[in-house]
Amino acid sequence: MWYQVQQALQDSSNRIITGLANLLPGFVALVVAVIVSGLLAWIAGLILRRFLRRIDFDGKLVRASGAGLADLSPAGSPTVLVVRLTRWAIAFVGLLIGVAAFDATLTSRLAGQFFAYLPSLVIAALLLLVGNAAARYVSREVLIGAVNMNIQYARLLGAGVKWLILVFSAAMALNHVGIGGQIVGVAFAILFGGITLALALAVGLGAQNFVSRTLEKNRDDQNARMEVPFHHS
Amino acid sequence: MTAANQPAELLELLKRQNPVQLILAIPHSESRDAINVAATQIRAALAKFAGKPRTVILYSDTLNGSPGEESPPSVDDVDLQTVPFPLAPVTASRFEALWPVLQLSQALSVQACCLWTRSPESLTAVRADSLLRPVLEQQFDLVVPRYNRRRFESLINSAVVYPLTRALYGQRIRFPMAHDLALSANLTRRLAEPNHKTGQPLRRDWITTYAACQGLRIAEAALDLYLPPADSSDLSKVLAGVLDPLMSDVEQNALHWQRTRDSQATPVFGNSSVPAEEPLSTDVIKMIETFQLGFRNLLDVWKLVLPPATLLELKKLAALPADKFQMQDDLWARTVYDFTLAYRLRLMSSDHLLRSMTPLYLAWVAAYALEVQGVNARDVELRLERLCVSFESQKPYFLSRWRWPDRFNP
Repeated sequence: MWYQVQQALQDSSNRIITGLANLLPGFVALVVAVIVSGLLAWIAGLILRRFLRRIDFDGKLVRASGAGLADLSPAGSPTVLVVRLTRWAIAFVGLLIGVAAFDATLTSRLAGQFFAYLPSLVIAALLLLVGNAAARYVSREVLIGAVNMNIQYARLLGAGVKWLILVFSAAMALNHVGIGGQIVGVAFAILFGGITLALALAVGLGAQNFVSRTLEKNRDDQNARMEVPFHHS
Repeated sequence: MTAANQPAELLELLKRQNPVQLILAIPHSESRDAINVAATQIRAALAKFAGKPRTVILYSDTLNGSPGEESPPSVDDVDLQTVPFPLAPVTASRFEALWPVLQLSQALSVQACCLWTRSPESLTAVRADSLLRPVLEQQFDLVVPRYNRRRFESLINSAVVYPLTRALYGQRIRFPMAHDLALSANLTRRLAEPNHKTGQPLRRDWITTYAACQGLRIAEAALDLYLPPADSSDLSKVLAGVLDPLMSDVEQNALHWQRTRDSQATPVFGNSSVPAEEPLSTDVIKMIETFQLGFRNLLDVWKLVLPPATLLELKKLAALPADKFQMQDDLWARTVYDFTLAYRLRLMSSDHLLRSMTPLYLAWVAAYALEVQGVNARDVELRLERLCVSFESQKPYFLSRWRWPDRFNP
């Protein structure tokens, strides 16, 4: 009987070791593909960055199309955006090559699922882009307006509005791609409500002085001497 | 004369009569009586002109009233007629108000046309003479009014518009945005020319700068009038509303103003009185606080527009106490030039850019108010003259930044 146990163990070990040995070349190929594509991506990024800086890509793009793209880019530089996108694209291609070496059918199955998922990804990316642009524009609008109204919490108001829009657009994007499910909805509600409450408190507390000054001014105007009005136009 | 319902009919009617030498448009009026009063004054003024030009006064056709309503007696004669005409209110756009008048003037080949946007009662014979004589008898192409100004009035004009247009276009026109204008036939013809590609008129809201760029003769008429105060409850909106067309005009005329050097004095016709005595105390604390708040909160926005040297000076300014608050003219001039350049480079939305300038403008107003509160009217004008000289001396800085915005960033 012990001989049969020994035989069973030997057979199962042989099967597992043979399976691992079959997988190993593909795995090594995957690792090599990822490392090589990573190196290539780094080199390509370096060359591309130098080239774009030499031709003043940032300045020309801003002059041609306004500051919108610069605002959306990391560090306010479209060059950095292009370089990062290129690097990630090369690395992704390397990953696909590695996966294909690992399992030939896996890539075709992955590709099928990926292309089915692609429209949702694109729309989610668009939502994030539009949300980001809207957040920057509206926060600047609120910041400038609040400063001109002499509201001390101007920066807080601007930041609050920006994060409101960013959280809203991120929640919409995640919901669209089906990530997180109900957790995203609940988290969004908590965040959004929290930011709105903070803003309401900031406006309420900040406007206290404004309201009392307005009331005092209405009372004082009746019997105070005339102050010099400034006519700006 | 009876009203012609369409401008084309009016044109035909006038062509059949004696040639018209002068067209005067008065878009704003409360009543026909007021128009008649103005017509009487204009007749008295024109009687002293050689040749006594035949004049047509256009007033808004909305004054005609309902059918059956009694009209006041006409004051028309062979040399002067009052005619209803579809005139746009000047609040919409000065060019839209002027355009139909230009077309009619061009069609009738008049010697001069004039736009009077104030109430008809304010157009006295003396004012009409000051406005029209340079165009009709002294070969000037454009006459703009020089209004009286108390020290705390027309501040945007004094802080930005006048110094900037003077330095760039080389003409010392005290009120370049004035709506009341007298134009010669030469200028009328140039303005009425449509774009040969589109067939549409070239919109020119800045007729003074256009005339300066064309090398035309410009004069000012001292009308002894004060500008009515505009609603400045939303200062940033007013500031943006004034500076947006100004900076757009600067961008369009870049080829011209880069060639001008020094500014020339503009001949002034007529007399004006000294401004009435003004109360001298001012409260600038709130303006300084707004500037300090702007410096703390808008620095990220200003960094996109202003070079490091200017930001450093603003930082020092923000730290000054109210009693020592003083903004150097060179600093203000460079700031205005930098914002003009930022407008051209589209570094951000133009509305955001110009509204973010409000705290800086208030800093200038506060410093100016502290300087002029104890001086007489003549010294106030000298103070503004020094500001204009600073703008002119900083023009090379602006030229360098305009031509090489990336390389020249002190």
